[in-house]
Amino acid sequence: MLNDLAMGVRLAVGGGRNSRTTLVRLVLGTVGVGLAVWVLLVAAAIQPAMQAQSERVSARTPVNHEQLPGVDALEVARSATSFHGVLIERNFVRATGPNTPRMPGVDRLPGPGESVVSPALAKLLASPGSALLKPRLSEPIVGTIGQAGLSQPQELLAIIGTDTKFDQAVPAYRFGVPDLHSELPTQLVIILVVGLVTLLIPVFIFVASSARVAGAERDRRLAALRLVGAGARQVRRIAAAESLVSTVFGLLLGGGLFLLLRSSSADIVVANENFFPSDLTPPAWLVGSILVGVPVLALMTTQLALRSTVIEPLGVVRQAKPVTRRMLWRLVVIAVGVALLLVTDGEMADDTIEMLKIIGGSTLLLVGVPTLLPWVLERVVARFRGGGGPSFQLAMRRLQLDPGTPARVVGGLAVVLAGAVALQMVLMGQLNRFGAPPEGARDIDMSNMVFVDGPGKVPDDLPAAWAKVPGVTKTYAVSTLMATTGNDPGAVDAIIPITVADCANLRQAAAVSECADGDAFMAQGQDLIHPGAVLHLLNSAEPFDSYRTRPFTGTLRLPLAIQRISIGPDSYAFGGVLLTPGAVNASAPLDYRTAGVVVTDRANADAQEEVLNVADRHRDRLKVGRPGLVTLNDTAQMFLDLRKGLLTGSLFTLLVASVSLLVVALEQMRERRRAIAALSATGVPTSTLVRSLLWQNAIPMFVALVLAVATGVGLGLLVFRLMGLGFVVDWSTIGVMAATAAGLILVITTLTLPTLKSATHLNALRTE
Amino acid sequence: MTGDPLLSGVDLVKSFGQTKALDGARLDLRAGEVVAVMGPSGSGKSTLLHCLAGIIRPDGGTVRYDGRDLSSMSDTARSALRRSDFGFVFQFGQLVVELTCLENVALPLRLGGVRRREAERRARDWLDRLEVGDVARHRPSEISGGQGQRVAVARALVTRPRVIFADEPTGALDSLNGERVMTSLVDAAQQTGAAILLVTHEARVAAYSDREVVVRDGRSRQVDVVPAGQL
Amino acid sequence: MSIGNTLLGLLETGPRHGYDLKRAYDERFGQDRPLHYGQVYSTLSRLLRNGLVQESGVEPGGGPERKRYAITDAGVTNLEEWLATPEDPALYLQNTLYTKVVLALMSGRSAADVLDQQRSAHLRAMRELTKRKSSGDLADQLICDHALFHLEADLRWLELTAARLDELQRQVRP
Repeated sequence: MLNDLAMGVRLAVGGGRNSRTTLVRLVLGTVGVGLAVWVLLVAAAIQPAMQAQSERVSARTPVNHEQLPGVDALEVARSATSFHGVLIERNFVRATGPNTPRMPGVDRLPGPGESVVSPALAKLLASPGSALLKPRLSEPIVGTIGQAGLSQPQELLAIIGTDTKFDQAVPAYRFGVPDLHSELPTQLVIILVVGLVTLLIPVFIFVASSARVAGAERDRRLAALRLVGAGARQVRRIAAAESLVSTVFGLLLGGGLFLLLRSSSADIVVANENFFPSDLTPPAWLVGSILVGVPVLALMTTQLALRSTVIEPLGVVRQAKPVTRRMLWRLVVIAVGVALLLVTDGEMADDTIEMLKIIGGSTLLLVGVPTLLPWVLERVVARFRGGGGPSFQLAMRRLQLDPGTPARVVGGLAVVLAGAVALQMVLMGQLNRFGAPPEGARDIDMSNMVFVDGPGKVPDDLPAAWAKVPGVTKTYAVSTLMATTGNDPGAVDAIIPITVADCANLRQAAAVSECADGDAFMAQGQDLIHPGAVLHLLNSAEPFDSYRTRPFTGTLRLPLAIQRISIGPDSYAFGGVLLTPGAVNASAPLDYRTAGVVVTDRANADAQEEVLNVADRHRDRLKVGRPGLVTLNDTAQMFLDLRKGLLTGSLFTLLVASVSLLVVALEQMRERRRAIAALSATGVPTSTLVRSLLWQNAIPMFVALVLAVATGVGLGLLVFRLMGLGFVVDWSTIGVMAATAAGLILVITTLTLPTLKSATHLNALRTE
Repeated sequence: MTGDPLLSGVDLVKSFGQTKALDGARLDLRAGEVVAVMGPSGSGKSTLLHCLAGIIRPDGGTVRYDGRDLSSMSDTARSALRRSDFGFVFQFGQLVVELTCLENVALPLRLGGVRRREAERRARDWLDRLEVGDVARHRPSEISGGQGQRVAVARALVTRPRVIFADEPTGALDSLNGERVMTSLVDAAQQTGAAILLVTHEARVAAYSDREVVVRDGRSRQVDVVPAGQL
Repeated sequence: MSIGNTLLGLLETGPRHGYDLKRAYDERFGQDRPLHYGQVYSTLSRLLRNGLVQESGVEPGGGPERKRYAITDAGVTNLEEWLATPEDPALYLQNTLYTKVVLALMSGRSAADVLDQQRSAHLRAMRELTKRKSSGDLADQLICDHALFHLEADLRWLELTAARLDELQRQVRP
């Protein structure tokens, strides 16, 4: 027994006449398993990494609602800025006494006029291109923020000591709130589970297909072993040992790749995510199951592959007419999957049993794709009776003879596709529900604008200072008020924005042409208010969401003469009233809020930075910055993040599946060298061979596409049902995915062409 | 047998890496004649055949076929020539395992643009002539070696080529089957007027030829036809 | 016939006594059947009569065993013709062929030519048989096949010998 295993190992590491092919086989198998192990380890490490990240973010969140005895509050004011579109977080801190709470990751709190920065920010500031950023971070750096204070290694964060009282400052008595990140909504859990299943199944398929690499050659070798007297069982053991060798090498390779990735993870940014090496630590039980599961899977595949071949001493007898593929059990797989999902209670998705049902159901449904595929493909090509051109005939006959191999090849791709279609559907549904604008709806590119927002009247110096910056094409700043027509602060009927600015700024902000101080303007069609009306003022200094909970701060009487102007949806004061300072007639001092826009020339990237520098003198009051992502509520944001993550994942899995496709395609080519050479010798043009190869890959791909889309939509519907939602099928996304898969086939066919060409060079004819 | 040769190779040189497979070989083939190329294994006889058939381009020397210089033709043109004017029978492996025997024989015609129905009719004719009509619907893996070679002969002849290149056509067969294949090949070639270049190391196979050429160490020795009277 | 030509071949390397000739012949070609003296002298006298050899000197003592013989120009021509003429592809002719090859090697002639000539003659015979076979009945075919297989065996021997000429050359002319 041990002897047989040793023999297998000896054969796998080769030597002898065929050492080159043995090596190729070993390498292909190793790379296959290695990639899979790597992906699995990364997948296992992602959750702990996200967890660690969110724990650190929670740990640095200031707590301001409970005053602690003996602790002096640390006032923390967030004033973010950006540099060439990249967000830079600045927290201004002001100690109110000697006993301020400790901030995580900060050894010594910076005193007034000092700063501590994250390593990435320090690097950015030290780089030659940062001259225009320096004015906003001019405080001398007295320390570095450690890992405990950073969400990710590349985070750009500065903590700046100040003795100015910032308007937006909140007192912190300690840092650290309980980490709530793990409490995900059940719908999110469902999506996550289905997503992971989708991403990991192709990886297992990949492991399986790499265990089969160069099968024909191995079979011949095993036949030779039987000739010298090895028994059928012995041969199986030898084959097992052989595949074990590449599996062990693969484990080493995968583990090595993972450690390599881990050690340099601080410098790698994918989809804005970026981790400390210590964050990427998969739990031990997962590592253990990977280390055991992958070799077991490889062994099982080898034994399964040997099942249909009888290795006789005088060669390999593949059952000449393979047993007609049975449909029943393949359908049972899918049926059980569907049934499991149907009996799952979506509301209870965080319950372990229900969760297992979801995992099992979606796994079975997706596994159904590669199991059903050979059968479907066989049925499809069996209808062929010999029509079409010679290249088509060659391809069809090849597929008839062996529909299993190509079906296995595209199977992995089909699973990714099916999963991606399902996920995409579900995520789109979720996003629509949470009211996030669909991708592409924000069709106005605002990256050349700077928005200004903050309590108080517009600072007198700003509009003029901006106008002087070279590259500024348009600028205005207005003071705004919020008013309502109703009498009850708890039940506000309609909010009327009121804009106060001089004529020059009004001309920029809205389509006001003739204007003198004392004039008032109102949009055409505005019928909620009328000239001379008295409006109740809301506390405009507070952020938007809190209006409704505040009492009125006073009243404002509108002038009797108000010009009607057309105010388009692109102008600032849409739907409101515009007043020149002379037209303001109020009962109390007004709390204005500043709003402004600066538009810069797109060709002049520095102009925006200068604008930000000019505005930074009011950082204790105004938020100045580029419009980022439209602010969504947290759940919608989470879905967006998730979608991004899953799409990145499926892209990667697609890549893995393509690599396995390429490996199998190349191997097939290698095994058919002689046949190709003979065909080419008799004058079959290479172009015919190429076309036949394309057909040979495209037909299974097409069948796989149809099956994958059907399964994907089916799975999507079932998951929608779980989440209690109506469904949307996003055909354009499905189209893009299908096109991507088709494109991949084309690329892979192209990549195998050199091998085909070299086979037609007929050296293959010489070696006998 | 006089007149210009149909196919001639002059001073052919071909190396594979360090080894010189051909070193100044020459050979003439006249229309309709059967020439055997003999020599020990490794002497370069297969390489000579590959050069003459335009499968590989010699490093030196010229191959002329029917007034055209093969060595200066493009790969595509040589492919087309092989398809239209030449037929091939190898020791094994030349039948496409996926296609039925009938489709295998019809393949060269279809590549030449003949419609499927017509191509398969002609293919069936040839299979019948070579007495393997009954395996037309079988795949190559389902028939015997001798039948397979006769299917290969049918495929080589179906385009009515002017030259048939046969490389150890009976190499994998027993004497009786080898004989049957050779008889079919030579008879059929005679009927269609095709010349045969026959590479073999077996004297009994070479005996089907009109004359022989011996290749030794990459050089060919044209063994002259001795007038019959001297025997 | 073949003994006469063989002796001529041996004499081509230099004049010899009858006794020397016998010894040289036995050593190289007479493995199973050494020559009798009588055979040697009767053959030599036939060659003398035909002018293919001549006496090149008599040593004191007299008697036929004291005569030295040398090859004449006519003898050389005769020998060359013989070497260049392939043997009739009959069965069991290795002995004659072997003799020819060795003599060719001894005299510095091309042994490969000898073999090629023979090979060509053999193939010609095989072609004839093959043709006869295709037109004959089964009995004819079987008879022809028998001959074909034997000729093929000869041809194989020819090929093998051709492949080992260098080795043989070293033994014959060290």
